[in-house]
Amino acid sequence: MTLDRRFVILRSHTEIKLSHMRTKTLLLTAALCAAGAATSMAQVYSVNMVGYINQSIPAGFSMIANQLNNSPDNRIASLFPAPADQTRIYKFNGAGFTIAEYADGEWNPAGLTETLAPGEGAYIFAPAAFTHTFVGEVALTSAVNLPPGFSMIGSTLPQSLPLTGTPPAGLGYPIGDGDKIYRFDGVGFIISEFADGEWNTPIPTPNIGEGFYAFNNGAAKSWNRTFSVGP
Amino acid sequence: MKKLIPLLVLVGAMASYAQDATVNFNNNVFTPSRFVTYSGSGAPVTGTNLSAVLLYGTSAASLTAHTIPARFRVTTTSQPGTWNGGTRTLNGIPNTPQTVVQMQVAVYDNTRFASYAAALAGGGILGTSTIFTYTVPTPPLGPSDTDMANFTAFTIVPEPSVIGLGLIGAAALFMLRRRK
Repeated sequence: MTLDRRFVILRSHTEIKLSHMRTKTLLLTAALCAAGAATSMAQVYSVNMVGYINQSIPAGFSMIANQLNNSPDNRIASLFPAPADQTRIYKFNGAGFTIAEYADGEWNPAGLTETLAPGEGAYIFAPAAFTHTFVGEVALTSAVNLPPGFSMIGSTLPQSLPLTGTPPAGLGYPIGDGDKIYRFDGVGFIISEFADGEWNTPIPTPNIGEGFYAFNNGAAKSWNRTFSVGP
Repeated sequence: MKKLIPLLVLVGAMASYAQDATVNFNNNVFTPSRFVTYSGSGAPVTGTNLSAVLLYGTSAASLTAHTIPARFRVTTTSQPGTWNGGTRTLNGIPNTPQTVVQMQVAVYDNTRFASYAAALAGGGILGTSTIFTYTVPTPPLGPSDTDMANFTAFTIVPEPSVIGLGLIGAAALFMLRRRK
């Protein structure tokens, strides 16, 4: 910079001419807006489904199923971190029950690792009626093992549909001759048997969040479901 | 030998399929309650120093102690008189519906004896229930089907330390009254 005897406006060497830049910025902003608008107009699908189920659990015994993959896991202690004192969960193990009890502020037995994952059913004993909120992700692909004889299961998907209909109209249960479904009504069982190609009752339609006994009259098989999200 | 191999394979396969019966070893599932209480005071038993052990077998004359005892609950529990049990597998008892099993419950102090066997040998059994039967249920199982339906309430004698404290208290009261 050279000294001048007159008063002049001195411009720094780093001066930026804004007039051209303003035009460029405006054009870029307009382009971005156009791109954003185009994106928002197009249909976008999520690759997963998350949500929650508010399930009413009556006082006494009922049979439940968890139909959402909980985070971080599906352990009973994670699903029910602090239920009412004397809440008990009974999981059928093929011979009897594996029992978890919440008493005196903790789940027993200590170090309980028992789960209630989608596809598994269990009895729950509630000292008083309450509403439980299951939170998590829907299993888009699932398989429930059905060994010969009895197993306590539930649908992996939160749908209340006829058990044996073909999806999406039904739950796609792989029924076989002589198979039975036992739904617990708080006192006893509502028994449905599939024989000679038909049910002896209306097709069982479990409620959302309901567990039930399945009696497999044949060899081991699997109840597979695939649920698609989007078109 | 050639005939033995298929036989052994068959026996092995049968053994792998065999499943032992189980029982819900809990006394907090009954209405009306079937508590374990102290003889004399009638107070329901609490304290994690006390263990309940399940004895079982096909004959009442030869009962086997289950290897996993259950502790009674903390003194502040909402369920005094009950132990903190759970499912117990009855080793050697087939899970054949309607099989009848003889059972009994015994209580000992786990701070004085490491096991039921040690308590039995050392005269530390504080009380036992009457022998009762358990029938292996037929599937599908209702939630109460594996409960010990024929179990009845029983009493145990207070531990020596409890008796001692009681005697000291009584003596102190007696001394106080004499001074007055």
